[in-house]
Amino acid sequence: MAVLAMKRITICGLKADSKPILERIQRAGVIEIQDFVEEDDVFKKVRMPISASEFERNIHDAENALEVLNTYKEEKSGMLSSFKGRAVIEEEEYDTFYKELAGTKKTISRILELSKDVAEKNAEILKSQQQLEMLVPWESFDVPLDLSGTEKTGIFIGSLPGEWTLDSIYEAMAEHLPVDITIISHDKNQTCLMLICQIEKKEAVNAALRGLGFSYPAYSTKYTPEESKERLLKQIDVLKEEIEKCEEEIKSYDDQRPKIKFLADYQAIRAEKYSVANNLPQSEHAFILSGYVPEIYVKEVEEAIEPYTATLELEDVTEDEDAPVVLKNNGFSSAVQGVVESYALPDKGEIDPSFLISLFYFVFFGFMLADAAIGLLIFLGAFVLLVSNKNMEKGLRNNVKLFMFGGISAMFFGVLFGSYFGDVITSVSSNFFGKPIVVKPLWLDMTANPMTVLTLALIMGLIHIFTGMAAAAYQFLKKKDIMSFIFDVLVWYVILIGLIIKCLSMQMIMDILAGGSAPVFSAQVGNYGLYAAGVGCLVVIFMGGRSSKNWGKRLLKGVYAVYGITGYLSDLLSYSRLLALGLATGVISSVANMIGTMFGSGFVGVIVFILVFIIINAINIGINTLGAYVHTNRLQYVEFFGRFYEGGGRPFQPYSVKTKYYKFKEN
Amino acid sequence: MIQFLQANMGTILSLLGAALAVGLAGAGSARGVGVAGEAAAGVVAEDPGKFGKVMVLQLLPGTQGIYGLIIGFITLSQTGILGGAADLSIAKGLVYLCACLPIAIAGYFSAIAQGKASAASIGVVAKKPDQFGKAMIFPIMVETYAILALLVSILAISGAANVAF
Repeated sequence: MAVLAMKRITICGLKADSKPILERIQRAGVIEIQDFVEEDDVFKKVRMPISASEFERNIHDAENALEVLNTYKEEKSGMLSSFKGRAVIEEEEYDTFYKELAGTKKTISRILELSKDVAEKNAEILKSQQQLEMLVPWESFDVPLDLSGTEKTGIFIGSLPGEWTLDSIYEAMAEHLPVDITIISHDKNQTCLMLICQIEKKEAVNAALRGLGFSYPAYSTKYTPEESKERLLKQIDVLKEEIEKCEEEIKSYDDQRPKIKFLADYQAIRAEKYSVANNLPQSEHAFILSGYVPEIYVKEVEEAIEPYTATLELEDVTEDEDAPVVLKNNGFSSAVQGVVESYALPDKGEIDPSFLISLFYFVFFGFMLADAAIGLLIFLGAFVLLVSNKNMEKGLRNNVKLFMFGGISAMFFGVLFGSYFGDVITSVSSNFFGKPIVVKPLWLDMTANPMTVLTLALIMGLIHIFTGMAAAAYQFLKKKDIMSFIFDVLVWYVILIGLIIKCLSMQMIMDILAGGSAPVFSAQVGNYGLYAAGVGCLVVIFMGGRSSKNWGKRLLKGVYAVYGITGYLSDLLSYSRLLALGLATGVISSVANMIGTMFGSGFVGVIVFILVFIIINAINIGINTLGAYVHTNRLQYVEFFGRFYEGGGRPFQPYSVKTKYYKFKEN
Repeated sequence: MIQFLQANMGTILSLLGAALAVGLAGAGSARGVGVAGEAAAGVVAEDPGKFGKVMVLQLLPGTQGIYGLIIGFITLSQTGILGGAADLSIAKGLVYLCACLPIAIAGYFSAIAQGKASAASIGVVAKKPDQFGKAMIFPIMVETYAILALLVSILAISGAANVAF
C-alpha cells in the first residue's frame, strides 16, 4: 500500500521498571532507537555492568559447540531445508529451556572441552607416529639409543649423512683407532651406526664425528628400539581409546542441540537489550527512551508500557529529517516488495512503487515464460513450498509467492499462445499414437505470428512507460511542483501521444506492426498529431532547461531535453524482449520434443524421449525462469523506475527480538 | 564436386548460417561464462554461502548460446534439413545465412562483454551481498543487444519462409 508514516516517540519511565519495559518493547519490535534526548546534568547514559563482549562470547561458544556436534553427527537437513525458516518456540518449551540455561552453558563448555581434548590427543598420536617413523632405521638394534658409554669406553650411537661403507668410516676414523664400528642400517640419505672407542679418546672422536656431520637420533630413550616401539604403539592405542570415549560423549550431547540453540538466541536477545539499555539517558529514578515508530504500531507500544508508570509522547517527523522507511503492502503486492527493496527504499516524497509494480510484474514474467506446462510446474512448486513450510521467513515467503503468481501468469500466456512444453502434445500424439492432436492456441501461435506478438509487447511497454510517467506526475503534484508537472510530464504526454497518432496514420507503420491493415487515423488526424508533438517539443526547448538563468544555456539544455525522445524510443523497443524470451521457452521445449521423437515409437523411442524430455526441459525451466525473473526486474528498474523513482530511503531497523534459530511467540 | 555444390548450394549456405548462429553465440557464451566463473570461484573460496548469488550472475552470459541454438534450430527445421527434405535455391540459402548473422555476431561479442560485466558484479556481491539486485542489472544491460539481435534473426527467418525464390 504504501510507505508507513513515521512518528517520533519518547517514552519516559521509572528506572525500576526499565527492565520489563525494555523487554516488552523489544518483543513488540516496532521502535527504532534514536538519541533525540541529549545528555545533560540530570539525564546521563549509564553503562551496565555486563559487557556486550560476554554475550558475544556465549553466542560464539554455543555456535562452536553446534559446529562440533555437526562434525560428529550432521544435522538432518533436506535440500529444501533453507525454506523451512525458524521453528516457533512454545511457551512451555521456553520455560523448560529457560530453567536449564545454566546446565546448557555447562554442556557447551563440556562439548568444547571434549573437542579440545580430542584435538590434543590427535596431536599426540601424530607425534607418536612420527617417533615410530624415526625408529624405523634402528629396528634391528638391541641397545638403548641413549647409551653413551661404559666405564672404559665411549659409545656413539647416531647417523652420518649420506651412504657410508664400513671401510670408509674406518678410514675417516684412522687417527683414533682402536674403534669398533657397527653399521645398523643405511640408505641413500643416512648411515646409522654405533661406534665404540676408548674412554680417553672420546672427546677427539666426538670432534671427528661432528666434522663428518654426525648426529644423535632424534628420538632416543633408555629403552631399546624394540621396546620403544612397543611402548609407542601401546600409547597410541590408549589415546585412540580415549578419543573414542570423548567422541562418544560428544555424540551423547546430540539431543542438546535445541537447548544450545535456545541459549544462543537468548543471549542474542539479551545482547541487543543491553546495548539499548547502555544508551538510555537515565536520571536517578527515571529513564528516557526515544526513537521512531510507524504510526500504525503506536498502539502496540502503548499496550506494552501500559502496566507500568511511564509516559509516552509522539511528535511529527520534520521535513528534512532522515526518518527510516518501512513498506507495508497487501498480500498480492507484498510479493514484489523484495524487488523494490533490493533496488532501493523510497526516499522522502516518493511513493512506494510496490503496488504499481505488482500490476505489471506478473504480466511480464508470464509473457517471458509463456508456457502453460512450465507455468503450472512453477506454480505447483511454489505452492507446495508455501504450504509445507509454515514458518518460512517473511522475505523468502514473498519471493516464493512472486514465483507462484508468475507461474499462474505463465499458464495464462501459455494457453493464450498454445504452448504446452512447446508442442509436446502434437509431437507425442503423432509419434507414439500415429494421430496428431493439435491444441489450438486461445489467441494465436507466437512462432507463426511474431510481428503481432511484438506489437502486443510494445503496447504493453507503452502502458508501462505511461504509468511510470503518471507516477512521476503524482509525485510532482504531491510536492506542489506544478512547473515540473506540466513541463516534465504533461508536455511529454502530448509529444508521445502526438507521435503515436502520427505513426498510426502511416501505412508503412501499419504494414510492419499490424500486418498491413488500414491506418487507424486519417492522414489529416495524423498531421494534427505531428503538430501537437512539434508544439510540445518547442515548449520543451523553452522550458526544459528552466533551472538555468542564462537564456543561451537554457535553450541549449532545452534542445538536449528534446533529445530525450530517443530515450523513450529505446525504452519502448526494450520491451521486445517479452517476445524474444517468450519464444525461447517454447522453442527449446520443441527442440526437446523433436530430438526425443527421432528414435521412433518403439520401446527405445519411449525411453529416449522421456530422458531427453526431462533433461532439456529441466535446463529450460531453470534458465528461462531465471531469465524471466531478471529481465522483468530490469524492465521495472530501468524502464519503469527511470521515469519516477530514485530511492535512497534508510531502512527501518527496529529494536527487536533478532534470533537465528527460534521464533519467540508473543505471550 | 562442382555439380554437388551447384545442386546443394542453398542447403549448404543455410546450414552455414545455422552453424554460425550456434557456434559463434555458443563460443561467446562459453567465454563469458568462463570469465564470470573464474570470479565466482574466487568468491566462493572465501565465502561458500554466496554460491547461490554468484552462480546466478555467472549464468547470465550463458543465454546468448541458447539464443544461438534457437535460431540454429529454427533454421534447420524451416529449411527441411532436420526433416531430411532440404531443397533450397541459392538465393534462399543466402537469405537464411544472412538471417542467422545478427545473433551470431551480436551473440558472440555481447556474451564476452556480459561475462566481464558479470565478473565485476560478482565483485560487488563479494563485498556487499545485499546489493545483489543492483549488481544483477549491469550484466542485464548488455544482454539487451543480444535480445534485439535474436529478435531480428527470428523475424528474418520467419519472414524468409514466406519469400518466394
